[in-house]
Amino acid sequence: MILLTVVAILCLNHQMKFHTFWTTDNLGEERSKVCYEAHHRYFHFYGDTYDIDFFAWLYPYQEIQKISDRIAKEYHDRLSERSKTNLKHFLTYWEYLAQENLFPEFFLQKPKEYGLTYEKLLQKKKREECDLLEIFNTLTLEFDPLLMEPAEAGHEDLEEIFNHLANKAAERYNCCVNCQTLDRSDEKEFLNY
Amino acid sequence: MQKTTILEQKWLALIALHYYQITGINNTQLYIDFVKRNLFDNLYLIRKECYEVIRSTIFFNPKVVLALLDDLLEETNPNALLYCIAILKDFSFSLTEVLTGSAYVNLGDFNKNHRLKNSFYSQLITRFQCALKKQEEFKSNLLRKKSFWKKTKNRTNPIPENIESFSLQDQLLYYEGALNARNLSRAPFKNKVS
Repeated sequence: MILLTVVAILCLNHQMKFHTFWTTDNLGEERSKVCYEAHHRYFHFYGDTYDIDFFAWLYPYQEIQKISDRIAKEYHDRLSERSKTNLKHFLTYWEYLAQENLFPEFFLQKPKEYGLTYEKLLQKKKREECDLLEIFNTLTLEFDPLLMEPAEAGHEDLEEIFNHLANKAAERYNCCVNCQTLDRSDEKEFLNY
Repeated sequence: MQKTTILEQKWLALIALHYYQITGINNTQLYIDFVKRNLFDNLYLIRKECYEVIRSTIFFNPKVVLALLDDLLEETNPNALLYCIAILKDFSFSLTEVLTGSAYVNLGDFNKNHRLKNSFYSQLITRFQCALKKQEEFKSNLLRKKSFWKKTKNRTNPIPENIESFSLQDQLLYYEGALNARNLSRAPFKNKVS
């Protein structure tokens, strides 16, 4: 029996999802893709973002306001099975755990990891058809993804922001490139060969 | 690369450990420092990836994990205890799985060598006893703080008094049933929180 899994690809620096795909378990070769906007590295999550709770796990666990804002936005945008009261309990519980410095993965339901056989795949329904206008409305960005960071949005000069972001992007790009061409001699510090 | 603050490099270093630890680990102290730094990260992704690294070390070099457990049990951070419990459960599960032959991992002589088997059992049991003591303190501390913890029941299985008369494998199973810190949380999530 062959198991298939859903994999979501996203950029944790932008907190955005790019696409999902179905694979078997050998993922090792496709791990080095880079986000085109700012040369961030893509992250693969086993599982998909159909559930709204998923977005809570993308942020650091202490930043409660960002999480609640994001979940409220996602709830407004799409239909989901979760009720509002259930989400409220989720967030209050998360807040209590963050105050106590306890990690939420031990006390709350973790994000699902999907696995499907071929038989279940055939039973899966098609998505409902949409109008073209609705699709375009969801695709258009409300703001520039480059200006997403709140600390830099306070500056008014666009040139400063772009220079700062370009420096950051260059740094990250060099990191990604250097990781691909690492010397094996550097890894010998705690590994046997 | 081991002490970076950049997200992508942290993640890559953890993935590299998955593959390169198969041949063995030279410097256990460096490994422990590296793993502990990533276990208490703010992001869930890195914590999860780091925990999966530990899961594969259980199979390939279990002696390193015992050293890690000793290190984690000395800390006062409650998250360290929770990780300890999770690791201990995975360890005992993998031991029984390997010994009954249901696992598809071949550990070579480990199956035949009974002395090695028994030494691992006895070493694990001491860690279990340490973790049980700490778990009770942790529970009592939590129960004091807020009202909605009180609604949970104590669902852990009791340990029999004549436990030393059982075989080592059965003793492990009893201790495994007694360690259930996660059961604290299930009821209050459904109830209303003020």
